Amino acid sequence: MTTGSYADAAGLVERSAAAYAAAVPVTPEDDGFFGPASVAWRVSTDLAAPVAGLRSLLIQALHPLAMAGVDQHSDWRTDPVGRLAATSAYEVTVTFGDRASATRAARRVRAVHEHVRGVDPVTGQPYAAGDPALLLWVHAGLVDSGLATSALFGTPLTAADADRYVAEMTIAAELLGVPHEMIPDSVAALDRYFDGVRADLRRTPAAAESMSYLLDPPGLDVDIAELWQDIRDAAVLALPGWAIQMYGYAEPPPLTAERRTEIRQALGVLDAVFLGEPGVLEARQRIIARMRSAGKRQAGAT
Amino acid sequence: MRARRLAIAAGIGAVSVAALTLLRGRRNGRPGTRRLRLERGLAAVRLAARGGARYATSAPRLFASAGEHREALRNDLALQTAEDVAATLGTMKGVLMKLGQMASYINEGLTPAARRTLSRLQDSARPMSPDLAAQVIAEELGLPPDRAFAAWDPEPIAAASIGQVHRAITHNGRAVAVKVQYPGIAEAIEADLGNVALLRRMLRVIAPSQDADALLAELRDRITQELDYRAEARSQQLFAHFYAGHPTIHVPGVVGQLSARRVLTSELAGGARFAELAGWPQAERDLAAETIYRFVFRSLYQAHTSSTATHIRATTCSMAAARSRFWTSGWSSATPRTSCGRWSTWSAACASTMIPRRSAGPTRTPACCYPARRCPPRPSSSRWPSSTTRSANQDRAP
Repeated sequence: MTTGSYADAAGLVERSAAAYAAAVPVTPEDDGFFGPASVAWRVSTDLAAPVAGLRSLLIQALHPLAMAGVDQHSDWRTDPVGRLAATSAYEVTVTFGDRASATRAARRVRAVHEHVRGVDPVTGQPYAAGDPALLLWVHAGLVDSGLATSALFGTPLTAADADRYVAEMTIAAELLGVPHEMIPDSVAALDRYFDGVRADLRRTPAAAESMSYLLDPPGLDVDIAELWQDIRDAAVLALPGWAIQMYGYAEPPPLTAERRTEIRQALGVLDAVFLGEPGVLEARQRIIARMRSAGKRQAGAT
Repeated sequence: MRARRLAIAAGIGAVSVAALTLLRGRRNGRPGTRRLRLERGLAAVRLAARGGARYATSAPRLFASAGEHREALRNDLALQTAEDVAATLGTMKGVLMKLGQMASYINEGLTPAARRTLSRLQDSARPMSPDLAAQVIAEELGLPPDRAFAAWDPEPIAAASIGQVHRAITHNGRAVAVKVQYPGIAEAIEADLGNVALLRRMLRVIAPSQDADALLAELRDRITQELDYRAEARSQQLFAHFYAGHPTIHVPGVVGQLSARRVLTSELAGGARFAELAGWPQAERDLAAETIYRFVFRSLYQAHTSSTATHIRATTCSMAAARSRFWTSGWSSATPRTSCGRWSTWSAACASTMIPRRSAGPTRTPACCYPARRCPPRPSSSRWPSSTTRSANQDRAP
């Protein structure tokens, strides 16, 4: 296992924003795998989306083999900001891009995964990034986080929409090579999946190190660093109890209405900072415009 | 020189854009850059003017990128429900937008990143849908717009951070401009103003060289005042009286019966846009400049002497409010309200770049071009009454 320090997180907002602005299509050939009327688009544009992203990473790092792959192969330590920006650009392309772009992006990721193989130093088990079980783990962490954070800090989904979201998202896992029958397609199935996988999880040193970096990234601009404290608290608050125990975090106090408002206000400021980056406002408007016209088409059809 | 009544209303927003770019160009000290930036500012103004629906703040970029589809895009992006308003302007965004309008006031202290963020936030302003605007009219005036007015144009003619302006004709035949506040915005902003800790932190980061608490107090004052249009109506009426009968300056009067907390109806005045004004013959441009100059400084100094406000900063601020009426009641493509700081920056730019070219009239560079804290002391021989040397806190205008 490699040790050593991480590069600092300067430019986190700028580079994420540039990746986002470039990934939202200007003239898509089609509505992609989800479409502007999907729940997936709503969750992706939710105010709580940054918290969902951070919570996803916190969950995903708890699988020793997934964590070992990242730790031993990616440029995560030398360029953590670049890695995060690339991941979010991928998610944006798969969500908002047309089918051809999403498929191309997924093919690139699969090609990279081909070379990510090794042995986890903690469990002694071999791993391969293309292993459907690992891909499914990463997928489940993302979907579960979208549900959890929109419920707590964003616009909560109805039970039916939550099921629809989990079902819609199955395509994202399929694009990376997970067989359809393996992928949970309802909230209940997702919960069952987490129950089943729990025994494989643990906090390895690599996970602990990565996550303490993420929760308090050095080198952030001072304004972002202050906001990050609220985002971090929110992400930890949204974790399931078992994850909090594995990390050994103190049990967070229950979420009061005041605290929820404060976190939403911090998210609003973060979003404003994000909107201030070149191209982000235009990208956001492209998405809203498509969602609006899809909503109208739907209203007209019923 | 042909006496021409200038409806400054239409032009001031554009002037301030151009003047601000001028000022920046001057700092760079490269004439080529200055011209280029001025032209870019003008191009944006023209583009906004061409857009049909005139949202000076969001129009240029949004509509430029949309090309042929801009009308459809505008409709798609319109705020349709109070929930939309909360999602777009709640969670601090409305407060930040307001801060953005104060931005030039604290310009010197603003970090470049903050300046960019605040200006982009202005660009993100979206209009209300016609239905949503009609709903506010009905709630405030007790009648839907097509009954409260003899004629109502559902297409807004200007947008601001917390409201937008429609034109209408009253039952007794007056053409009016009706400013309509976004529903729910007051509640959202009040909740956000309650998070003093976050606001103070934000202000320290945005403008590290400024006194965060003073800025916060100013922000709260300003926003609270602006959320109740009745206060604005009162001071607009004051200015309308002040300039009544003036040969070149006209401040539109308020129609009290058709105004309420979230609706402000005032007389509609026509006029020229800055881009047009720039194409006028020199003599008329001179008159325009003189009129603007007179408006700025007469308001400052005479309002001062007439005890409308005793402190220069208070005076500039009430001026900013006055100008808002000035704008919204005209065929303005501009944001109805901006900060008194932009106003004073503008007036400084105006004074130093436009006025000296004149052959007659006041040529003195005004002493008080900047917000109070940076006002240089003026010579005692000045014929203007003293403004900055008095106690800053002494009887602020009610």
